[in-house]
Order: sequence, then C-alpha cells, then structure tokens
Amino acid sequence: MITAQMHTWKTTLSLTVRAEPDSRTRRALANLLHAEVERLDRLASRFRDDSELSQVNAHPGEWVEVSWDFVAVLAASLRAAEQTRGLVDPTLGRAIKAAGYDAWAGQETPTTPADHRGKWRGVGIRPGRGQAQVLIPRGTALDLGSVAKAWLADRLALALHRSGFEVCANMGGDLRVIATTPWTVWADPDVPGIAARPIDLVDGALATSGVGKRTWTGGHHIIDPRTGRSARTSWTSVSVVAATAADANAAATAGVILAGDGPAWMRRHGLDAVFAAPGNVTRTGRWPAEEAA
Amino acid sequence: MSNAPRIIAVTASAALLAATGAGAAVLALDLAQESIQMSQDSAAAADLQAPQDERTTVYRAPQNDDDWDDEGDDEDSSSQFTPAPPTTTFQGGKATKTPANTSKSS
Repeated sequence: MITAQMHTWKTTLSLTVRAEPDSRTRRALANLLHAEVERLDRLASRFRDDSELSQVNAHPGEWVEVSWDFVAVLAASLRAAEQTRGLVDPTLGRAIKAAGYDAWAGQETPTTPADHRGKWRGVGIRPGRGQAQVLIPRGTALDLGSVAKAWLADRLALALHRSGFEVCANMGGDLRVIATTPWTVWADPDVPGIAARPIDLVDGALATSGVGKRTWTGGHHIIDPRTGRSARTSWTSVSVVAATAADANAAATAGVILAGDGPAWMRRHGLDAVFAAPGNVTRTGRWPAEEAA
Repeated sequence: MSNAPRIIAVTASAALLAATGAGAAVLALDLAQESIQMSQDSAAAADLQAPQDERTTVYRAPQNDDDWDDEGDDEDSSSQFTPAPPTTTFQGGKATKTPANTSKSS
C-alpha cells in the first residue's frame, strides 16, 4: 500500500493505492492530491476571494462567467439537492455563515438566519461567452462544502483507477474505493459504546456526516434549510454506503437533518446506513447488528 | 418529478453533458423525444452567441415543492440514489483501522 495524506479544510485527506511502496509513486500521489485540492479551492472555496464561487456569490441575481470545471462541482451539488429534495442545498452559504460556521473557522462575523427552503431551484446554468455562466437567486450564496469533498473522492478514485490503480480515496470521511478485490474500510460513528464497523468494498463508497465535529456554541455545520439554522437532530452521526461518495454523502447529511424521520427515509431510498447517538443505534438495509465496543 | 420542467436545451454542449453527467444526457434525450421544437440551425447559432434569454438556459431545477415525505417522488429515477453494489459485504476483512480507511464525521 502507498498512501499520501494532506491536512487541510480542518480534516485529513488520504489517497491510497495498492502497490509496492516506492518513492516515485508516493510522490506522484502526493502531487496529485495537492494539485486537486488546490484546484478545488480555486473553484469552490468560500474563503478565497479569487475563487469562482466567490465571484458568483458576489453577484447574486446576475449571470456570472465560470468555467466548466466549476459547473461540474455545482452540478454535483444540484444533484444532491434533487436527490434529497433540497435537504442538501448548495445555496445555504448565507445560512451557514449565520449559524456561526465562519466565526468558528476564524473567518467572518455571522449574519441573520432565515428560511432557505427551495432557493436551490433558482440556480441556472447556461453557455457563456467563454465557457459557462451561472446564476444564483438574490439573497443567496453558494456553499458547496457539503458535497465538494465527496465529489473529489469520486474524482480522484476514478482518475487513479483509469491509470490502472486499485484505490481508496478518503476525503475527510467521504470515502470511495475502486478495486478488483475487497478493500476493508471502517465506519466510525464516533460515539462511545458503539463500535466501528468494517465493511468490504470493491467498487463503492462510504460517507459519515455528523455533528461531533465542526461544532461551536449553539450550532454546528449541518444546516436545516427549513429553518436556516443548525439542524436539530437526534443523531450524533449517520454513515451510509452507496455506489458513489457523492450519493453516500448526500444521503448521510439528509439523514442527520431528518432526525427521527431519517431511518424511514433511508429505507425508502434502499440505502444501507447506521444512525448513531449515545445509547441509540438504528440500522437500515443490509447494515448488520453488532456488538458494543 | 415526472412533471419537472428542467430545461436541457439543444444548445447543451458536450462539455455540459460531461460536467453534469449521464443524467443530463438522459434528460436531453427525454426532451428530444417530447419534440421540443428548435431547429438545428437556430440551435447552432445560439451556440455561437452570448446567451440572451431563457432559451439558452441549460439547467433549471425542477420547480415542484420540496416534500420529504412524498414517497411517490422518491421513485423518480432521475433523482434516485444508487446503492452500493452486491459486491459490498459487511463481514469486514483483516485490514487494520487507520485514518486512511476510516469514515468518521469530520
């Protein structure tokens, strides 16, 4: 195994391939990871004034020139919004700021929370003078952070697979495997008394969303679009297995937001998941019961 | 979401289809099958010009309401999740738990 790691976005990103250790491959993996993270930052960081996302956010209600690369990340976020019927909403940039995330991240001061239901439906994409143009509704700002890491895990795994590698891309808990034989990954609910679960993936993904991290006094980073505030959830974390990291991530985040309704929603979508909170574990699909830690 | 007025215009380029994925291609095909009237000539011309109006919009979200309890809409194939394939097993192999192979909330 060869692993490259990077600490950024207040988490750890890992890229692992099945290969005999050698410095050249390790260096290439590290270069790829750093380049793709930098590229995604230039496209979609809310904290960089020169990102394409910041340009779009600076002009709500207007068509803004963007690259097709930016459209690719935005499209993944819009797909998550469609799948979850707006529970995962890329236009919650102002709401997450209002909830206190930016202050927690050492960035800016909060603004006022508000109901953001359905704002994502006002996003438009069309051909531009150069590449493409994007429109976001007035009064909104994009935040693609919820989906971007998962999108990157899928992208890196596919890129390395096409280069002939068996790969596990783990972007801070959004994890994608493409291999020819089973690759063991672990779902860690991060709840005392609930054991981490090993899962064998050949071509699949695992993502965990939760409120144990990126948390501050009175809030956390998972926003309920129905209130514009940090979701009031009964779960510490939700882990989901799906075909892609993007799907797993969107479903896990929706599961957290839906709180007590999450397990039924997950079953309707036919997904394997575990909902975890101190003294309370609920599983859906094939997710097996397990012994306490 | 079968009544979804999502617009994938004839001006949608290969780059857009690559960016938005196979779903967009399927939607474009759906629209073609519904006989959206736009001549090839006008479509080609639109491709060369700066967008002027909604006719060149290539993505608009479906405008139906968000209803998380609506089981019928969960059956819409364009917005369904893809579960992990049958090769996925919950037995667990021999690999040690490390940060590189562990999914936890971050």
